[in-house]
Amino acid sequence: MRHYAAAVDTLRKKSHACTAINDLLLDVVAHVDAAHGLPWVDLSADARRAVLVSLERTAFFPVLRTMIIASLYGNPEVQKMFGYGGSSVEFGGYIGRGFDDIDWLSDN
Amino acid sequence: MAKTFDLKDDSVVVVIGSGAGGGTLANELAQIGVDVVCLEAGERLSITDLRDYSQADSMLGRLTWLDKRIGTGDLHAALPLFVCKTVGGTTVQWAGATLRFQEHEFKTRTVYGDIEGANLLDWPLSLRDLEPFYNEAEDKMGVTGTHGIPRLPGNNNYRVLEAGARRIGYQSVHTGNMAINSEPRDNRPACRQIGFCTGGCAIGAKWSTLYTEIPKAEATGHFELRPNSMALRLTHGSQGCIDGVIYADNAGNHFEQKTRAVCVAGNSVETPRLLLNSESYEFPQGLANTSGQVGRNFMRHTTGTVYAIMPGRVSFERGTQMAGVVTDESAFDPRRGFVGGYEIETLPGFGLVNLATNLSPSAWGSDYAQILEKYEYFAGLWLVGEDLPQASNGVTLHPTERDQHGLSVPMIHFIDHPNDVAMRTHAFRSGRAIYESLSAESVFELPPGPSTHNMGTCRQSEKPRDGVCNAYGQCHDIPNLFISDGSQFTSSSAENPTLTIVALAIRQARYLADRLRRGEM
Ligand SMILES: Cc1cc2nc3c(=O)[nH]c(=O)nc-3n(C[C@H](O)[C@H](O)[C@H](O)COP(=O)(O)OP(=O)(O)OC[C@H]3O[C@@H](n4cnc5c(N)ncnc54)[C@H](O)[C@@H]3O)c2cc1C
Ligand code: SF4
Repeated sequence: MRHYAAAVDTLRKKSHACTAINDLLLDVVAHVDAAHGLPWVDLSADARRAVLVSLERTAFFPVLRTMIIASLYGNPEVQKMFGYGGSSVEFGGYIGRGFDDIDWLSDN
Repeated sequence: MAKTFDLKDDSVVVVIGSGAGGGTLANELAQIGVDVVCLEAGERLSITDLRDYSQADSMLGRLTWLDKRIGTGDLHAALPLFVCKTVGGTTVQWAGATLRFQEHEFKTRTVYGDIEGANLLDWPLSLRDLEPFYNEAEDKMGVTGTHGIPRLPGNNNYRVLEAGARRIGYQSVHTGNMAINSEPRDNRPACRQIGFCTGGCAIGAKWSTLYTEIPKAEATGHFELRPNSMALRLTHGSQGCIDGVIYADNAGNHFEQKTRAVCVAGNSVETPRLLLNSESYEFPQGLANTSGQVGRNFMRHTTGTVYAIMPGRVSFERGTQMAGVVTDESAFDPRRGFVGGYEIETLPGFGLVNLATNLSPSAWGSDYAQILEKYEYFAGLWLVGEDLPQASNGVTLHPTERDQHGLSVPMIHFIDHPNDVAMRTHAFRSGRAIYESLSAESVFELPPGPSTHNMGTCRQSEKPRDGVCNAYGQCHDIPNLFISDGSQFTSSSAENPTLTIVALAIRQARYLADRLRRGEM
């Protein structure tokens, strides 16, 4: 949950720096709040999902998807949780750090 | 040591582009003692600027050719090609797989026959003609598995590929022929399995003209590199021979370099674009285009990616990206329902963000998030095979849109031939079978991304009416104009193109130097 909040926070910071992103996010918020007559925060998880499904084909949805992916999966803490090793130049590469440490393949 | 030449010096050969074709050709000419000016549109980075892009995508933005291009048909509309604009060209980003063409791939019209919709043609040269130059190219590039150079060790992603491939009966599986040092060679260190080779190799273990051919050419005293110099058009005299190259610097100032001969190696979109943009009263269809073939027959290889979630951890970001190959499907065997063959090569996810973005391009939500949580268990491979030349696939100029230099924007059109579709379907089935034989939990098939292997838009032909240049890349119409990159390919083959580009460049350098010595230009 904390990481999702961090991802949203990254978007918030971006929106301060860029009016196009700010407008896009305001547009998203207007849409999700209007969709069900109730504000987004008051919707159940299922209802929220239904709202998002109804917005899948909007122009902003893929843009939002790309931005969320970049901020969520670009977060070093998330990458660590996922076991993604990332950059290795600074450690001298993966040569002594498990590039060939696979242990579950049988030989036959 | 690095020399400079006067703009009015018409004894120089101008090479346009400093990538696999241009960088190699320029160095080979300079080694023979021919004076060369190399115009390169991109900036000159030093090796210390190259960092892997596993965290920040900044390296990609800095290296990639982002001038406006319009893709149509099956191509990505805004980024039809994935190529570099930088000194070293796309050899800064390339993965290093270095395979020779097979003999029959030079004779596709003869071997494959007359296939409807395909514009097949035999090359005017054979494997035998190219073999000595393949040898030289492999030695120059330090290709593993050739000339007694040991192969690289296999990483986890390779070992999954190898185990699955053997289980389903493939025989020819190894860690590839890679232009990546497996031991120190040519004053460059051995690969440290850093990974992210396509962000640029931070230690220079991977061959790139940026830190091999170009400094070597400079050391001869016969070579000047002009970075940030975009060739805009070629000019010709009354004899129809090229006599100058007009180019622009980053500030938009224009210069004209006088010249004896011009070699164009801007990759398969910029090369025909330059010829088309150089139209004149004498050549209203663009230069070297009496055949009407300039810009046509664009090939990009039939590709596809397979990712799989394996029963155990793989950590596929670790180590060389193209870590191995299965070559069993590369032979010609029309019983499979298509002509030509394909290679199976490992591919990592290019980082967590890229995998999440591309695995399933419109997927989202908790199901998708759960798939991505299995990141460590992913294995991946790339399918790359021969696509057939088609006259209507290619590069044309936009009638009205202009780029920052005032040049017509290129439009690139590509649609799969039915043979390409049949091959991709077969290849996906093979890729899937490799992973399913090891009990993969799920398998994902991804369609082609922006084209990385670009070929064919100024092809070689025996007869002037069928193509743009001869077996040396010399234009049929204009003897002092040469095509020096993948544009000259008559067919695409199953193999990654760069070794053949380099071999052709070495061969062209010898031929051109010989003509110059004899005063023919
Ligand atoms: C991610 C990736 C991985 C790859 N992996 C492999 C691989 O494993 N094996 C393989 O064989 N191939 C691979 N390739 C393809 C390989 O990079 C190309 O085949 C090769 O670099 C093409 O050489 P080239 O000389 O034709 O063009 P490039 O290397 O692209 O060089 C062209 C140069 O010309 C410059 N230029 C263009 N127009 C102008 C102009 N008008 N004026 C001045 N300069 C100009 C460009 O800026 C560029 O620097 C890969 C490519 C990519 C993108
Ligand atoms: S894995 Fe090897 S070749 Fe690739 S970037 Fe690293 S050191 Fe260079």
